[in-house]
Amino acid sequence: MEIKSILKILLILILSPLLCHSSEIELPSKYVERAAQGHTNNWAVLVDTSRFWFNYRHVANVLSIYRSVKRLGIPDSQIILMVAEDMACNPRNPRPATVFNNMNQQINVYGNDVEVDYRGYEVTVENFVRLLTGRNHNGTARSKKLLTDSGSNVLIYLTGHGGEGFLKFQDSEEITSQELADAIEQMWQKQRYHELFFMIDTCQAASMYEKFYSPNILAVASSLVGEDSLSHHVDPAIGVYIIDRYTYYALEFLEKVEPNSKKTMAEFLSVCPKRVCISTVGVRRDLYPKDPSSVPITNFFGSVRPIEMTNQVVNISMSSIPDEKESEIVEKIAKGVTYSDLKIKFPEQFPSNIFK
Amino acid sequence: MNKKLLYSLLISGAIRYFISISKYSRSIENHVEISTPLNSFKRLKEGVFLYDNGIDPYDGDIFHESPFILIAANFLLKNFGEFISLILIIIDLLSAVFIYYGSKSISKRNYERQQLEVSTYAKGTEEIQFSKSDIDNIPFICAFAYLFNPYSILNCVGQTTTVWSNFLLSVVIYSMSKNMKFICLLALAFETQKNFYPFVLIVPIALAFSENDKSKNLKRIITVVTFASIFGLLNYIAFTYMGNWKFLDSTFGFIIHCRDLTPNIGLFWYFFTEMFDHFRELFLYTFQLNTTILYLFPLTFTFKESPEFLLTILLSLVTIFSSYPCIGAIAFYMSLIPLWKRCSPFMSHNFIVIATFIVTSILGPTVYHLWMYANSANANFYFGVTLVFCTSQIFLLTDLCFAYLKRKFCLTNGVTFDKTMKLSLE
Amino acid sequence: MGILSNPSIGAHEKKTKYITIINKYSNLFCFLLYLIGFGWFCALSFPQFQSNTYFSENALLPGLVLSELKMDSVNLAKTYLNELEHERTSHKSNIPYPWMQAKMKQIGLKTYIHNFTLNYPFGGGKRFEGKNIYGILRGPRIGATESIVISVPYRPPNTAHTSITASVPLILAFADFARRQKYWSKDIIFLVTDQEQLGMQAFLEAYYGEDENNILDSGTLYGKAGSIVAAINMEIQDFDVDFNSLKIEGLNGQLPNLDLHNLVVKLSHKNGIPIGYKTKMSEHPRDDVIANFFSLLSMMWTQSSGVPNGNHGLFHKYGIEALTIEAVKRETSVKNNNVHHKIMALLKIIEGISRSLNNLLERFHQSFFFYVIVSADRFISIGDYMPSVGLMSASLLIKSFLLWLIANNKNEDDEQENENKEEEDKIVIVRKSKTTIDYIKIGTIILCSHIVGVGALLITTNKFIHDYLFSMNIPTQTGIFYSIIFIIAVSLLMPKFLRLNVIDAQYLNIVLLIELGTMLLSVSMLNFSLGFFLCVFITPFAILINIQENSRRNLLKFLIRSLIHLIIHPITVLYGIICLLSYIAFNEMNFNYIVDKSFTATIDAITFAVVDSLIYGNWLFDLTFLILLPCWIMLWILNFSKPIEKKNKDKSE
Repeated sequence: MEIKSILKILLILILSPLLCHSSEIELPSKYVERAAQGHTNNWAVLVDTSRFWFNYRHVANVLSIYRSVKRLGIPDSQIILMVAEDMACNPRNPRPATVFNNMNQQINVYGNDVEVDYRGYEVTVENFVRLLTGRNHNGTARSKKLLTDSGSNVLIYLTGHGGEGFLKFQDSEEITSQELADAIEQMWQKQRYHELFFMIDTCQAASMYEKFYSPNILAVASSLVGEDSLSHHVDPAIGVYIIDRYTYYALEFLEKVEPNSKKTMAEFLSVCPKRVCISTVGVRRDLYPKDPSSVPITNFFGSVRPIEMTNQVVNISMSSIPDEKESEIVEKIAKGVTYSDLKIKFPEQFPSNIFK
Repeated sequence: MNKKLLYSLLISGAIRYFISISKYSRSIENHVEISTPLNSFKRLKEGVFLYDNGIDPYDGDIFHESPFILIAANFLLKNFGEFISLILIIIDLLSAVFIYYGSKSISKRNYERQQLEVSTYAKGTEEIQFSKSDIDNIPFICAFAYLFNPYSILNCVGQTTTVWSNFLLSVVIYSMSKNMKFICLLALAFETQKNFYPFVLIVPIALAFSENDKSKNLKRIITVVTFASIFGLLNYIAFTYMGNWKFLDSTFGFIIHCRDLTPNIGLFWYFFTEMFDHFRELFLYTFQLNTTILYLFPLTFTFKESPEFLLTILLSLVTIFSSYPCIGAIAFYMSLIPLWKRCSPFMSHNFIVIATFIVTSILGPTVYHLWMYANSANANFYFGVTLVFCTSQIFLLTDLCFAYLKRKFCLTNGVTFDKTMKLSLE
Repeated sequence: MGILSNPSIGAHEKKTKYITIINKYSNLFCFLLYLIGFGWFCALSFPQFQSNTYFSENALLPGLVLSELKMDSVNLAKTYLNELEHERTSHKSNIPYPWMQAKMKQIGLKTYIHNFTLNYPFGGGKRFEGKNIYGILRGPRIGATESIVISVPYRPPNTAHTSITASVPLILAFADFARRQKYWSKDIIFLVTDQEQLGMQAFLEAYYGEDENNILDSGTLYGKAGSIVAAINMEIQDFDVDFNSLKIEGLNGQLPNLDLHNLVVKLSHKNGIPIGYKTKMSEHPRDDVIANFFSLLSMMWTQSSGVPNGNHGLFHKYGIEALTIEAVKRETSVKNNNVHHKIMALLKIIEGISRSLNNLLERFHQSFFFYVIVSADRFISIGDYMPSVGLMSASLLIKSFLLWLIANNKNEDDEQENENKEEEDKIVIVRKSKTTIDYIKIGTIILCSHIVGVGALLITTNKFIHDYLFSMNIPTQTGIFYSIIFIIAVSLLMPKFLRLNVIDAQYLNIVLLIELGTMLLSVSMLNFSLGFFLCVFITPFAILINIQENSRRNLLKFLIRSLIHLIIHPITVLYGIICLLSYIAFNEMNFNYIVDKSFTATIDAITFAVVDSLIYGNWLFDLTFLILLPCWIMLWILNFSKPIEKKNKDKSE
């Protein structure tokens, strides 16, 4: 049955030129519109900077955001996930090989489709800055590079322990707000982003975006300078704080967002009021030329997916089946295609059954 | 030999022996104030063992003694392993004897020098002039100060190789005072081979040897060159013996770069534990310059008429600021201070310095115990105490320098002044 | 350089002016310092100077975790208790090893027996043997690099101590529960020790491979876990717990990290068992200054002796944080008392502590190691109490400095008078001093008095002497008593042979004050309470006892001074304290009886101190003989100092 659904997509691809009156290859109007805005692809850099079992919540934070952006369509190849500690395999974890972000333990955010790009001691200030500025060492794996261009909208999410003007990495070093601002300026100079959404959940988080001076940045922080960000709740079964307040409410919001959602960034920025957050959420919008209320949230959390059109049948799964045979089947099926089948559906992220 | 000295030797020898057979000797040996990476007996044994088994002891990071110490220790441990503590006690006592005779001839020379100038002295300065009886008194006090100094006793019980250094230094002083040039330079070369820093002593020695000469500068240059060639030769002998040059880096390199940051009573370790790596070199060389040649020239010009005093001051400076100081070396320079007994009326901080020495010597190990064994204090406590200890040593030193100058001034200008007069040596 | 050493030559002029003032007021000033120090300490009993306890260590996450204990663990504990009670009828004087070993193995622990031997230093080589039993629960998903100890002293039925039979069943029930959990990141050692502290000492010595002590032959351990991070010692008197009492004072007055203390307090509260420091939970109100003061003193009193008040105290020597939880049984029976509930609470406390310790990533290092507990939730930290001791011991050092100034300038003053006429407007920098100080004699006195101290230590602890005494059929206690009498006699006779004149005595006094001041400072660093009590006691005497300077000798005054000296002799003081304590404890007894009893008690106390020093390394005894006694001897010699010979002085003038 799964093969069927794949073939259906193929069919759509095949049929789409027909639907477009196949006289000339034209880009979908929406895509053109977006391209005119200069935003052609989406990237996310999600970083947990802290180690140790009692910082379980930071790992849960970053994995939850990871899950959300992935659900909203940014592919794994465009998410750089940095996790400083392997909570799932910590011997203290009473639920081995899992990480939960909620005391009901509904979702294991450390499921089998998580790709951690930088892990453990690889999460260093140096690696983080190299990643942002693209000055990787020779031979760095492709999955560890931020291959953005002037059309990329980049989401940067940081969580860990911070203080005024710094964020601690790994209990051994820290990045200062100035260093971060300079790294981002370098990104801008190198045309490595189009727009940047900076999101940080630490104590005194607002101090981290204060030094930014590059254009097109929208920044949000879980707390103002002088405030602590607080954790949300404990899972008594695991015995640790399981998620931070700001991230918790941000996720609550993101859970309701669909890939074709009309929600705007302004709505997202007003998430977690002081009443529930206890800390004050800080927003910096002076570097961002647009009005956040007119920017759809999917500009940063979703993904633009460039579609390449082809008239040929491409065998993407089973190399053992010769192409002609496949095309026969396809044609057979194509004959029975009805219009209702062409409705756009969002399939599972990893239809792993295909590969069986 | 005079009777008092003989008794002192016997008694202090007995004290050293009884402590070294008591149950405390092992913990004394392990104290950081006594054993540093440079002089610890444990490391020496390890080095000898490695050497014995055909492994180059300089390959690892354990052994940092000079190759000659290695050879000597190898011989001693193999043949007289049982009596090593006795041998060390005898060497320590011998050092005291050399200090005695060395300071005797230094006092004599001081007295003779004074006799030449005595006509120019103001009246009423008898109290601060060297008297004839000083020639007998001062050497005894010096030897006594070495024999009964708790620092030197602990050092000897701890069986450190500083006992050897002290012996070599005492030979240097003895031969310098007796004008035995070759022995003096040889001993100094050996000592430099072992501890590196004492090379600065070549300056007072060159001054001393050129004192009654006509072509002073030539003589001085000859002394320095001779020293350099003896030193070079020693290193070459060590090279032929060891078969490679690794020992240079493992001894001098180790001292200069301060690679081992084990806490000690010096000023290096705490500073370089905290140091950022890219500043390390800069500060390292600044520190080493401070230890060796920063004060060398100013002090030389100030005290050039008394090489012995210059030697005392330089030796104490080098000891205080070296990268791995230990109390054995401190005991040695302390035993030279009584030579300048006649300066003591001008020393105003005696009491504070001595009281600080006592308090810090007790508090230091206490805090170290709390830090290392009881797990309850921390490095800052210990560093605080050692810092005070070093400061009090520096107090002692500057006090001595000023006292010397004041004495010199008073000798010619008399000791009574009008109340209205304001005098300053600044 | 001006700060280091004033280079100007005419620095003398103002000095003499101050000397007279100093001379006049030095005692007053030093005594004032002492009083301020003491007042500072008293002020600490005001709640404003105390802090509330708090957690510094993030990793502990105390009490966040939901207990997974089920009722079957409680039932298991009860079953184990019944079985153990049955075993105890047939094992009157030792641990029922087969039963315990079987149970530990059944639970799934790696079980070992540890043999140790005590070669009793007195009484001609008697030997005592003991056996500890312990089981190791390995952390299931990590290499065995660190461990926690949960220990229990086992007391056989014929013991003189309070029975704590319920402890073993409790930790076995917990072991059974813990065995089935998968989240242990550290090994847990369940240790049942024999012979009270001796067994614990032997275990620790064997664990850390320390074999220098030939009195206690600590044997070999056949199974080891990682390095021990923390230890909890349980003394459960009964499952029907009234309240938990915490014992923290360790060997030589070391204390566990305050975080561990707080952890236990918090978990005990959370599980509904009141907990108190030495008292029942009916804690005095915060503002009750008097009660605060006495509870301070009560902790410091226990701490000052340096003898641990539970098995936990021996861990501290190895840098392991440890404390004892003593569950005190309910005296009055209550209706409808739910023992099951109490067992559950106790198990939950152990579970909570173990899980928090399990979370630790580093050894305890954050919170305080030096503190004084006022009540379970309030403490005074080192920064607050140290000034009081600092001021008191500094007063000694300052006094010695002032004495030095006075002594040095007095000579000059005397001489100046003579020369004044001719040199009114002159400053003389250096003069020939006419009085010479007999340094050799002072040195001899210092040396001799310390040699007496060392000798005393050797005599009382030397094995050969004890063997000789044994062969002479003299009991150990009497032997030690006679040797101490001998020492006292020697010390009393010292002034007969070594007498100083007043000027030399002044210098000896200076040395003495420096020694005392230094000793007090370092003792109070190591064991604050001991240092404090010594300061309070010694400082006033050391400050106020001045050397008699007038040549007219007042016999009555001299006798009174001698009497005071005799009263502050360390042994007299010990006797006095014991008298006082027994008077408080048995105040209904006849006074003569108490005086008599205290005498034997003193001898016993000395013997115990010797044993403590030899086996456990308690240094109170060594301190007394190496420093306190020599200092006393010096004071005693000072008391007998000769007035300066008038004739001699006349001659020189």
